[in-house]
Amino acid sequence: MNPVLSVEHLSGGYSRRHPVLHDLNFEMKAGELVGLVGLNGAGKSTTIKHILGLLDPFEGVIRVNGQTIREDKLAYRQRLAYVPEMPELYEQMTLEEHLQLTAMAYRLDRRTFEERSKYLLNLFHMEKKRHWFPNLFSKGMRQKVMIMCAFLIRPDLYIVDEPFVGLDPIGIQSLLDLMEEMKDQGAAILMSTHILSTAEQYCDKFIILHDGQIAIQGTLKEIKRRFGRGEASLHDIYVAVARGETEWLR
Amino acid sequence: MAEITELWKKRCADHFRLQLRYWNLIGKNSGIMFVLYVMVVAGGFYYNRWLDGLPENFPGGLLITFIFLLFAVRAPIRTFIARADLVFLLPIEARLGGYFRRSRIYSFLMQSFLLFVVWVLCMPLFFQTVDARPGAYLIVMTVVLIVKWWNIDCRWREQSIDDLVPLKVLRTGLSFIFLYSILNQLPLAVPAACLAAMIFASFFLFRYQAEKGLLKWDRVLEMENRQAMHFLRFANLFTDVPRLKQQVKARRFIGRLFPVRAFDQEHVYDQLFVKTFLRANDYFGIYIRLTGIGMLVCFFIRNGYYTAFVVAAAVYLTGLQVLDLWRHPLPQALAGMYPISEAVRRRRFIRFLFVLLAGQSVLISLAGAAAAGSVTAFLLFLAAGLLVSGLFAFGYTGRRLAKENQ
Repeated sequence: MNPVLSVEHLSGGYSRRHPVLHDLNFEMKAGELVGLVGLNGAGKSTTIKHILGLLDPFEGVIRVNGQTIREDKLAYRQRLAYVPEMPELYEQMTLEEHLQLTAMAYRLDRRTFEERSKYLLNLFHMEKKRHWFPNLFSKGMRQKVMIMCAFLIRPDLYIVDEPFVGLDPIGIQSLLDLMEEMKDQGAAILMSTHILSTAEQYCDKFIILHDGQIAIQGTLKEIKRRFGRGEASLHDIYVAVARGETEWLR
Repeated sequence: MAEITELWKKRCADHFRLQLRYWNLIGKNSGIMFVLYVMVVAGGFYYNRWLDGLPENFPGGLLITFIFLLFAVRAPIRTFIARADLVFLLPIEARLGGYFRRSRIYSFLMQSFLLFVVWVLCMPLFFQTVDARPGAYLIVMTVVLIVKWWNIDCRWREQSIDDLVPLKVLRTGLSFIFLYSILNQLPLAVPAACLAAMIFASFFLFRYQAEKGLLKWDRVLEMENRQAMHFLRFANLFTDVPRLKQQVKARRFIGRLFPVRAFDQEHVYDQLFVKTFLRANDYFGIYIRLTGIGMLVCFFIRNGYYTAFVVAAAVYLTGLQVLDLWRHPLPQALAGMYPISEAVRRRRFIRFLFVLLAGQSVLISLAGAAAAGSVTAFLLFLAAGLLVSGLFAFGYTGRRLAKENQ
């Protein structure tokens, strides 16, 4: 079976003379929630942009379900959903219209749309705001709109960039529950975050990114074993990597 | 202290620079000077005729009182503060007295200039209905300025007071009595008593209450923003103001006429274009205005069959304006990710543009045909409109968007 996402020898960034990412390799299988962690500027967002096809790799290949974006752009896009770090909404559209457009764009039928949107609106306590425009929404509510749009389409792969900032506790829990549910249904989720305690609890695997390279990846258990201290938390390991106290980068 | 004064001066200078730039644009490409000139000449003519026809007992004094009252009591203060000041200037609020005093003086000067224009305009009316002596009218100007300053000062104190309604009523009432007593030449005791009351109110009501309260920064900011918006909205009639681009109007009623009909990919962009057109950037307003003007011109200026050219021109001009809709920014995380090909987006846009222009053609042709009173004229005008709509949408726009895509 093809991995849902495979990244091979990816080097990239904004300018060829100063690549941000150096030779990244990783894979995600169906039903995996992978945490992408790293300091500000480590290359998390750049990695995500490459996966989304917003940047062209300088070297290497990215495949979603075995297919690159160059082979079939629309099929590639159809298979993934994206929740950006900074919510971007249509200022001229109501919440309901956001959901409708998303459903139409990803070819949901009306019944499925009604069912799923009702469920999501309920889950995020937004059913009363269906006809509101985004200018009335707080940062957290905007984030919820983005999350609802992404989870409405139930693709094979979710790319979720730092989703917890600004969300209220119920929102965070709903998102975590939702991710669990999608995982159980066979979706793969790549989530970048700084909230390590939550990541530690929920993610199946981790990719620790530092200076555009993967310092280490694997399950928490594997990473701890390599680190050499079984009682260390993800936080401890991450700080050690960031301070250059490990041997993993060269 | 000196830095705060500098800050005010810098902001004032920036403000002028911005205004000047917009005035430059307005003056250059809108023909406003010509319109103004026509209005002055025509207005003067009709004003004179109106004065000549006035009855003996016309209450000119009262009318002028109301005109001045309107301009004197409304006394917004330009403070040039920005949202960030609520964080950065708040700690030194106690030292901002000089800053805000400058703002009051500035507002007074600006609004006095407007009052001066009004004063000049009311001069013939005053001379004819109240008093023909120039000295009497000079006194009026002095009094108007006093009223203006008093209102500005009180308005500033109001920024620290919670319950404003009684104060505003008092402010308007005293201003009215003072202006009325001077303009209708009541015995000197009346304006004198009124002036005394104003001074008393100033110290024992406005200042006294203001000292007990805290400055309501949000309100001051809102006052500033509203004034800035007034100007920008005015400038926006003639040229594009980037800051106004963000505005969205709900227009719920008309939006309801365009619900999602077919639930498929082709209609994603139909919805996006329709709703963006109706709600964002005032594309809709421009469309309606141009259609209205087109209809008026075709109805009132009767050119016979040549009206067809007017229809064509109106459709073309509208097309150019609505074309901006194509470049309306859409969020990358939503529209940028949709698995829909660029060709579909282009096709739907061109179709949408054609429908808009065709609809306009029908309306303008109807107005023109109503004036000409013939069905043949309607068909001719409509044909001209539809031809231009088709050429503009499928020909010009189609080719342009295709080229852009390469």
